[in-house]
Amino acid sequence: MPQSYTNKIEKYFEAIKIGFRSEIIYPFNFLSEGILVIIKVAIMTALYTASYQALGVSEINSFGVADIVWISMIVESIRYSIFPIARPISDSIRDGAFAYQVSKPYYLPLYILSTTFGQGIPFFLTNFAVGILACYLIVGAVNFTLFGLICGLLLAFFGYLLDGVIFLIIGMSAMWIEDSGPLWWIYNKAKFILGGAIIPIAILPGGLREIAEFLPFSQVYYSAASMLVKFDFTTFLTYLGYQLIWITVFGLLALYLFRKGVRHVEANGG
Amino acid sequence: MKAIEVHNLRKTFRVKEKSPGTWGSLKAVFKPEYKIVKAVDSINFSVEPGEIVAFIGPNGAGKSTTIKMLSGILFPSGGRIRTLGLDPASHREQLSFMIGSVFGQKSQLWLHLPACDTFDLLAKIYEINRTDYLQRLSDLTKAFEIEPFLKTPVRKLSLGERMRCEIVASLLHRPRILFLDEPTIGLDVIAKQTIREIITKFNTEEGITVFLTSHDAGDVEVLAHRTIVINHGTLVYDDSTENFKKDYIKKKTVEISLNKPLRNFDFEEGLVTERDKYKLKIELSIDDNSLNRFLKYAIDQFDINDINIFDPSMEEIISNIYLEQNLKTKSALPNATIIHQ
Repeated sequence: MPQSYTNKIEKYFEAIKIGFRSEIIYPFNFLSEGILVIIKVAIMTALYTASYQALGVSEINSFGVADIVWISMIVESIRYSIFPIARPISDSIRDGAFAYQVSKPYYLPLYILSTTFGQGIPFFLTNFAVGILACYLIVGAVNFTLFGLICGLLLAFFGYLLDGVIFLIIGMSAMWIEDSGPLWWIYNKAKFILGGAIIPIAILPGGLREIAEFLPFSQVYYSAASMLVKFDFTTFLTYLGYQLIWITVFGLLALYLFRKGVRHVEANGG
Repeated sequence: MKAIEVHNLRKTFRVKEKSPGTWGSLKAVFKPEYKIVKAVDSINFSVEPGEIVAFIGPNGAGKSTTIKMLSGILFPSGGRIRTLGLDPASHREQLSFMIGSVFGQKSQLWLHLPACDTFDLLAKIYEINRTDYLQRLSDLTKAFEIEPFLKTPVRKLSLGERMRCEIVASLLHRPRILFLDEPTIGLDVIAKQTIREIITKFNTEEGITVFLTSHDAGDVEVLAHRTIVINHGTLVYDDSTENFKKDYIKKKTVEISLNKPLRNFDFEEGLVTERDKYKLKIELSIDDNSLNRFLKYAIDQFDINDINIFDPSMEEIISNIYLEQNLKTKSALPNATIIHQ
């Protein structure tokens, strides 16, 4: 029988551990992702070196080529570490597997987030390590600070949580709209364009930059990447505030949809 | 307190329908049509603590839907359920600590990891004290003989080994009711026998109530104290398995394949349903012991390559139940279904 709140929390740590273990048995999977990060760093370096040269500037909004390449590397490292859980959730709702997972004594959305967080850890560590080495060799070092690193990693964690909650909502929408694929596609493209994956938000013009910074898409991984490379305490607090606002909004929506949707869940063969 | 109580339980599903062809597809986009399917239609039964109840029926009869409602996976459309005194729909978490479930077609094990990793996870999920967990796991490992493959990734296990691990996973938290949905599906004869023996052992030793669905009449014969038959969402039979066997599993089919051509076949009982040079299929009655006599005859007379014994199919059993019902209805019996409690 249930014992304590510690036990209730421990199950999610165990879920993180089993997610982690399930991925490290296939090291080629996450090592190959590391190779993609190297390629991305090389492309970004060539692209931004040529762009800055064409514009005849060495910095845009105080960000030089090296800063932009480092930010892009961190964005890509986090991006490739996050499991797009919307699709498996949507598929499991459609094939009935979701219903079976509901019958265990845990809070299923939190369990899913925990296992996928664990699954992402080996990818993030590899991508980050390989990316740091590639950036250091290709564009040289930037000014990391220990405090900036801690704050950046905190933003990365909340960014992961935000992304996971949005993916949960998209995945669970399959309880009503059958196929959540189009929503998943739109969200990914929005993250790609407005989330700093293709154009770092730091070099966008003033008004557009402020809007992009407030939107959830940039708070998934860009905010963490920019704070790791160029730490500023006020900006850190602003980003943290934005993240907490979006996590609360989408978290409550996910909770509402889960409670409402679980009554709609049907299972194959009954 | 009853282990399970069900009153007027109903479950309906809304199923989208589409006319064939492109026009049908376009029409379904703008004006979708739905039909209501009655999966379970006002059923009533109860299960005593410690009973093993087989809940059987053909595909689409409503057995899996019922087991899912009893265990809190699906919400009923109407009626009342009490599993260990709790309403599964509103007390799902509380109930999940007291029940175990195995769904033959859905694994709860992490496929790429050894089963012991999933057991560790489940111990935390069910909030089992570490010492209790290790003792329980040791006991179950011995009982289910899973020690040799406890550290092998689940995807590399045979179906029978995997199913044993699935049942261990469902027993870790000492459930009071075990729901088994098609636990022997796809297993070979030996693996089926092992699973049946283990279920019986835990029912006897720990008094676990077992509620199982199956397509296999063999599961019913060997395991169940009581048999409930469901078809088209309604109960058509509820009686002891002893009576069920007496009433509906009256014959077996024996199939033998031979190393030498079949000659001089002079066994006079039973009904030969298939015969060629190296193969013989014959239906034999259990009541008059002709099955035993045939086996003895075959072993004495033929050079046998392989021998298989089949129970009547579930569809055949159901059609016999209906046949009997019709006969009884014609004899002006008041009930359309045969329910003995």
